[in-house]
Amino acid sequence: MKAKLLCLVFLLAPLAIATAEQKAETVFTDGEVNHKDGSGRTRSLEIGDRLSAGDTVVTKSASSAELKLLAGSSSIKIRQNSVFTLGEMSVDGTKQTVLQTVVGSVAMKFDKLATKEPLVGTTTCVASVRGTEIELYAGMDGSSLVAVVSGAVDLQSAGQTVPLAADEAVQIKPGQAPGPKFSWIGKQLDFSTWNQGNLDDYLTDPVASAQKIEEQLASYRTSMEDLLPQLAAQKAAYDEAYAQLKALVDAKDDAKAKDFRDGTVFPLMLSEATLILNIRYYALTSLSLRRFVLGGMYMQLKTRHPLDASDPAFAGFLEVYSRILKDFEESIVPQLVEADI
Amino acid sequence: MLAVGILAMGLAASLLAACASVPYTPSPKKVQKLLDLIDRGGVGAVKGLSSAPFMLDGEILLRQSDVDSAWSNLKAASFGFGKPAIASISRIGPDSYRLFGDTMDARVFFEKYLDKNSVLASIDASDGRYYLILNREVSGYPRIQGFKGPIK
Repeated sequence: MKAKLLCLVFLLAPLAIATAEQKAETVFTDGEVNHKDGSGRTRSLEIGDRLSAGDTVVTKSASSAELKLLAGSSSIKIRQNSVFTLGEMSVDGTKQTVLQTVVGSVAMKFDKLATKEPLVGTTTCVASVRGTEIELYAGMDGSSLVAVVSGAVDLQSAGQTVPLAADEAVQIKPGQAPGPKFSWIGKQLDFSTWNQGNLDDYLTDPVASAQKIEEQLASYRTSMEDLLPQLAAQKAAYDEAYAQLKALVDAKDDAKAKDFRDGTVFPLMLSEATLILNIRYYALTSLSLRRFVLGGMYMQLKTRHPLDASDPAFAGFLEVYSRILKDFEESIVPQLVEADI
Repeated sequence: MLAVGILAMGLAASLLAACASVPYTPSPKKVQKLLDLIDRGGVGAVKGLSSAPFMLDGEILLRQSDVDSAWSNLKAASFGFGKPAIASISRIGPDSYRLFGDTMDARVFFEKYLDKNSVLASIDASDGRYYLILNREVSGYPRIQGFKGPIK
């Protein structure tokens, strides 16, 4: 029995090994920079540390880090008070790295890559890049600013795509289509000033800002929920195929078992893994949005009105906030694991 | 004589080790000192007194800049407990997280980010009850890992 189990494990091992791929290496750190890995362990980020999909880098004040992608020589500069995640999703059957600026500012420069260029984005937009140098800013209210220094970008938000060329930039509010393009020649954005503007806008109408986050989270939930029935069907098909493979192993029909594994079981495993990957992508992006954007919004209002939840702006916000949390617990939390927190 | 010295040193080392393994419990006087500091808006001035990760009501603040903003906002809002009374200082229990929120976030925060030295201080004030999660001292004050309230 043990030998047969080992045989099955051996047959299915290559796919499991392929999922733990390292994506980037730390080439520079300054100040206090933390690294949370996929197992949920947090420690100080050091030069030479390698990062995999699911890892997060958090920089404190007066701190920064630089990563180098292992595929090619692209660089990622994470500035102070930023949260950056290395994600992964499947697009048209191809696994792609997603470099996500959750909050703060990150500069990325993509050189000649050995593999397909990654997707970049924030919690509210995503972009494909081609030989690009790009600046991404993610504000406290979920707003994004994407500026192209060189190369080209196709930016997507709320189902709309905007092509950006060198020296062009665009702002995106959560749940909204990208705003109008504007010129970005030789500019250096003062992130603090830009983010203060986002904070001022938020404090002027916190209910509207919270509703935008609610819409954005709802769109991720819909994308995720579309995949769940497919995953259930795929899982059932895989379980059936696995039983057949086990029967072939039990019958010691090694040649047939290998053919069945390669032709049927592996493709089913890959399809299931792809669906899980994308469900996790939407769940983790939702968690980032809820943690760093909605959580920051709550903190800003609560600590401004510590004793008076009846303040109309705060009360209105709390109504939307409570609704979001309830929905989050019901729809997103089942797709998360404790290590994500 | 040498043997007595070695024995005494060994005893001292054992005592020190034992002290280090005794879970921290702040005295009411220390908690009162912290409440006074919060009333004066002085938390932000004591480096390391309130560090990320931090739980504000049911929200986990993972960025130090958010924790700092929270205390500076409270100071700007002239937040004060207003005649606080320490109702209890107790060890964290398996269900303590529910006081902050019956959510996965709150549960995992209590399991992952708190340790045996974390305690829960319940404070009754004129605006309602507050809960503070406290830990070993920094600059003579219990370190603050979480804050909830007022609960009317």
